[in-house]
Amino acid sequence: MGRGMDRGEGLLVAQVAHPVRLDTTGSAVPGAIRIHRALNRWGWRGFLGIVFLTLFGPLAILVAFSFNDSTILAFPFEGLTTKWYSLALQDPSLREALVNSTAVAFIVAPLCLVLGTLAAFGLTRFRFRGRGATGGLVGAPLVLPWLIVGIAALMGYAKANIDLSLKTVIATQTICTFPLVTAIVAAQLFRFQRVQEEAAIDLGCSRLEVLRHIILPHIAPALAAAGIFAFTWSFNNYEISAFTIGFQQTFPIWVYSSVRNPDHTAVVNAISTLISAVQVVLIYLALRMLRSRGGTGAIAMTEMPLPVTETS
Amino acid sequence: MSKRIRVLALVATLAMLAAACSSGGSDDSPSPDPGASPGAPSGTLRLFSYSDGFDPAYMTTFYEQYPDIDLETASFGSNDEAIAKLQAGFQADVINSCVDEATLEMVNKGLYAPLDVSRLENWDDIWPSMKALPGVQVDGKVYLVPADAGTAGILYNADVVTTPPTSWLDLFDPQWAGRASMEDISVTAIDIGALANGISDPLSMTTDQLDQVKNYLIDHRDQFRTFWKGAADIKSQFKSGEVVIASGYPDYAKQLRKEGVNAQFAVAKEGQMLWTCGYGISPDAENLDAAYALLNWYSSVPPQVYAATEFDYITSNMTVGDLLSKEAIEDSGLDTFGEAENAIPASPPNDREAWVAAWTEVKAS
Repeated sequence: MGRGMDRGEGLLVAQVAHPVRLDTTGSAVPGAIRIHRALNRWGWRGFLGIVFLTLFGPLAILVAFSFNDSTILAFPFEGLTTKWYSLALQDPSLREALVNSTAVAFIVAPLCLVLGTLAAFGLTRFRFRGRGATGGLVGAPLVLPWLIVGIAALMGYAKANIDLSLKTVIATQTICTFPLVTAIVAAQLFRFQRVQEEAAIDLGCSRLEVLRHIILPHIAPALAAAGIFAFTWSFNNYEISAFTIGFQQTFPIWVYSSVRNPDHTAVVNAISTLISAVQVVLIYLALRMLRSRGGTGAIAMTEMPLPVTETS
Repeated sequence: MSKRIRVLALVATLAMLAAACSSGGSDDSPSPDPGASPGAPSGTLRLFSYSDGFDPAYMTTFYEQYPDIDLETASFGSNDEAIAKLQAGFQADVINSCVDEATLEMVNKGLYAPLDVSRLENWDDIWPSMKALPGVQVDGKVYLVPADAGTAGILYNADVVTTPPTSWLDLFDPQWAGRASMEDISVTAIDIGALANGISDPLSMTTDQLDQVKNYLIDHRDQFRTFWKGAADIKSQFKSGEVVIASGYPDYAKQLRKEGVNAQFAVAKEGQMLWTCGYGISPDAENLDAAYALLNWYSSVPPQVYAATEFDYITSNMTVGDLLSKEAIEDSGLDTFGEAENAIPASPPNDREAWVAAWTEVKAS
């Protein structure tokens, strides 16, 4: 298959080589192929265009209106302004919410890396009774609705007489986020050839040296990507935070409570634009790191069902 | 290797649990500050409210008046969310709710404690019509101190709708077909449909009357371009010209005029829907002195004047009207509120589920 030829075009070439499979009369074949080819090309482009617009259209509107000199999200534009950005950066409650979200995410992400990696090792390296059940238990937070997890956690903390605070947010978010790390790291470990470990041990390495010089370099891209995803999951989380937080605010909670105030709409647009930009850069860096350090991690990431995150 | 990993996993899990549990011995106890002024409320006070209930500028006079109270705040996005969180175990001293959303439900679910009226300094100055709203008083006991209110009427673009509307029927005028909008709240929407059908007491509707209203709204479904869900929605639709007449609130008209849209607010002759929000005390309240201080502050003159001038709310304290400018009175709707003789409490009816089902059917038609 030539350079620049996609799978669809390759299929068409194969069909041209065997026109009898399409039409035994022969005369209508070129037209059918042209239509097929056009449908293939424009159909896919159209589909991708719709997906692209659905995903990024609302974000583009949000960015555009964050510079509009009006609190109302409607055309015509009233002029360009950056005052919503200034207001956003001057708002003390917003600053506090951002600091809280960042602090929580900076604690949750490393905790998840440790727990998720340990779970991945346990599930991929060892055979023990109840391994399937343990795997299911570890993966459960990935499929359970976070709203239910949040309410259940709140009930648990209330029964245990634990005061709600950022600590309870961190604990609950960690439990729900470390399975993501487990999924990513486990995918990488499954592809690891253990013969490399055996060779290293044969050559005199200790177990710790094998871990440091053989295994960790292999899973490092996956760990980096998992860490960034754990961070953004935590930072964007609304459902769990809303139910397990005490008398503080995180950024998603601030956004949700602010949209009630129509004057805040433009400020929310401005700060959401900034946050989205930072997160896009982080995720881009994670994917780039995966691709540059070997394909398996990237494959694992692209094959993994990503959860819906809170759109800030 | 495997043993080390197991030990590490155990240590990490225990560390996480310890981090969560360590907050149990909180240092946020509401014990009075030893340095507080004698007799003045002090200590920690936990407020659970819509975020505008603790807007820093709004609360300025509270912090000045009660410097020894450490106010901790948590916000919710709706009363339904607040109920879910409170029932799951969240604890606060003072809780905000709105009569049109869930005050009565919260009273019935035991989330509010009866108030000691003798400790409510401004109770006698509250509008009698607000005191009579469902949930404010139940079985002769007071549960909520109304703080602010508003009336729903007809919002219209005076450049297009040149004859000011006077009736809810104007919302169904065929000349505005496809350019009208109504708020997507079952209670408000069914109320409007009932009033447009000549039913003067929507909250006491029979099942047949509810069916009549539902069918009327279904027949006029195409009249409405949208059913708006929030201020941002309806203001965008007015500004873009998609909608020229809608159910709405006086402050929306003011905000739209600032944006160059000639929006006006009209009171429907059949009645105006009155929403009211206020504050009550939780049965789990740990700092009652501070809680009553906050309730008294909300219904006192300074925050009431602020709410009328900055938020365009109708004040619950009758005496505040004399202190407001003519413009503030008009913008908040106090000029048409009067004694609220034609106000219909926007409160959930007894057969709320039937109303919700009827409205869902209308939207799906």
